[in-house]
Amino acid sequence: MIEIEALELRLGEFALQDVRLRVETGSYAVILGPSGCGKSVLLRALAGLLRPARGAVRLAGRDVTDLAPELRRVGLVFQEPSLFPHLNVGGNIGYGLRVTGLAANERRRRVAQLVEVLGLGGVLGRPVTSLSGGEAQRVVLARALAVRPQVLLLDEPLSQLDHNTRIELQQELKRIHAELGLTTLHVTHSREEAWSLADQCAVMLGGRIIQAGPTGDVRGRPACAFVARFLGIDGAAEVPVPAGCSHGCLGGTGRCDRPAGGEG
Amino acid sequence: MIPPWRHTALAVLILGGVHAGIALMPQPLLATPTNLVLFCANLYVLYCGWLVVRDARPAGAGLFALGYMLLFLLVLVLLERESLFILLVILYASVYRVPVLLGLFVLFVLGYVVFQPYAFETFAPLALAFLAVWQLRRAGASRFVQGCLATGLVALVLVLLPVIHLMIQDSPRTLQYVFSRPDVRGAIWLSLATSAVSTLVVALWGVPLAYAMARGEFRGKGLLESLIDVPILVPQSVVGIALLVLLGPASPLGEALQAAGLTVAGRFAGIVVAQVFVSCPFLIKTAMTAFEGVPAHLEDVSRTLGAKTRTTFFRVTLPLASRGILVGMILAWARAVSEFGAIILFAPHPLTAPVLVHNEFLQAGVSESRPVAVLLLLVCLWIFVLLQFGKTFLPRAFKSTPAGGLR
Repeated sequence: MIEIEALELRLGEFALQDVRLRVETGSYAVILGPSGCGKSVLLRALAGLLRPARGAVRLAGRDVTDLAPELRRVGLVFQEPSLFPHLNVGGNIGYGLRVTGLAANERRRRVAQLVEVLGLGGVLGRPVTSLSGGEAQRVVLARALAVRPQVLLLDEPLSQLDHNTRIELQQELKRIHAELGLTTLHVTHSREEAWSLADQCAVMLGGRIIQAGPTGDVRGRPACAFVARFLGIDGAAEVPVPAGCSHGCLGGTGRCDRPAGGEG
Repeated sequence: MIPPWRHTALAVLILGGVHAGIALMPQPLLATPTNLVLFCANLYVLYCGWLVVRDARPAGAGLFALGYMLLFLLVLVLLERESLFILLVILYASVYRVPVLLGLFVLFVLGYVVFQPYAFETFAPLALAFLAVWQLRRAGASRFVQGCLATGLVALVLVLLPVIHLMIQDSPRTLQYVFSRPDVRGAIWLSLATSAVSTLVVALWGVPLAYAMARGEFRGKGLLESLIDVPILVPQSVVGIALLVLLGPASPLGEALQAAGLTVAGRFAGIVVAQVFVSCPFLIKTAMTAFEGVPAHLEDVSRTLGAKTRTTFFRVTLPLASRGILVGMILAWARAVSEFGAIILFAPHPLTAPVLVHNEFLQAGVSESRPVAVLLLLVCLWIFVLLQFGKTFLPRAFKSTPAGGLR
């Protein structure tokens, strides 16, 4: 379970404001939002790479707000390729096990297990520079899963892939989630990914979550015209205007001017 | 590829007439055998000239003839060396249609005929420079880029000319003799040992400093960066004086050290101190660039996988920056081994190699100190090349994506 409570974080001009979110154990949540809405910043804060000014983060019931990233037991997959270029595929997958001091034979067993789950048998001894984009992202996923994280955080994991690979890896993510039942928070700007993967989704704009809930609810009852438009739902004009909303976001200001506390 | 017979006959007749004319002079310009060989050579040149014209470039024939005339004027008229001329025209005619070889030929003539006393040291580097520019041309680089490279390389050859010239001044036998002198061996050994120690000393504190500077943001960082450059700025003699003032035998600190049995001035340690001072900026600056080239998100990934910051540094950051750090160490080592000014003031004894070369020069002049200088140069170059080669074994930090080329 991921619980985020009233999280505030300042990063230069940008700020996360009063972010609240709850992802149930074993569910797959997707945060949707345009570029620059703060979804990556939120993930980095959950992983402990950025320090919030206020608020609390609980992972699997444990308060990790002041914990260093290496103690949080989260698996983080970045958008940019992030394999260690000086290690081969096996070395990358086993990295987390190695630095935490797992015995070599146990390490080999776990790597072999993941290689099977992700279908990486053919590339285990290869240098990472020789992998295709899709293979590289699978290895990244295997590496994150190897340390048996309590939650999996995916930061636009598919955005740098070509169309076919993206579809393929999307199915793979679905299958892995079904198999392992790992609580997953996936951040993206693609609604197709959200519809196909998410049990639960949230829409972010300008450092705030403007709507969150079960995917069906969000799709069926968008909270405002921006959400409807961003999610590509017909009839954006008929969506009721929330109190205090000036519709400035539709003009591309990139932020929501509704008074805080009105999240669905 | 046989020329039409009427042209051939005409050419042979005219050429034969010219050579017969030379032979029939009251005082022939050329001895008969030479004349005969030159006639044959010229026939060959004519044939090659016909090939040039046949390639449908009438202007080419003019250029071909111009090149021949230049060789004629230079080698035959000016230098009066007939056999060299015959050799060169045959070479010239043979390579004319292959531009790379023609270029090399021109450089060869330039080196071995025009700059004769400096033949090897002009021809060899200029030929390498020419081949580099040629590669650019083949790769389709613009003329401007080619011009930039050519200008730069020619100037670089000129700058390095004294060193290249010095390198080939002494025979291996002289060098072997000089190397067998115990004082020379001792000095070279001392130079290598002190510079190796000082490089390690700089690496020990310079690498952590560079890492902190590359990753951290703090006020005064710009100032600190300029401060690191200061040793490059300070004249060597000033460094020597400064060290003497602080650590010399007459200073309080020097006396204290002496009392503790740790005399620095005029000792191995003194040489190391001077070398550390002059070489540290090179290592720190290069290592900083190396650390900046390691993507920060790789460190983030490492941490989320359970590695502490220290573990991350040793397992990810340092290996990926190692190539750049080695380059920095090579530069620092090179700067340390070449240091002379500060050492001769602060620690003239025991003798390091540069000080020995200087002493030899003062006592016996240029010709006596030269073999020692050459030997020092060769040893240093050898180690430099070896280290440069060694760096290719270290991993490279990738700023962009692995294969699959996504960006």
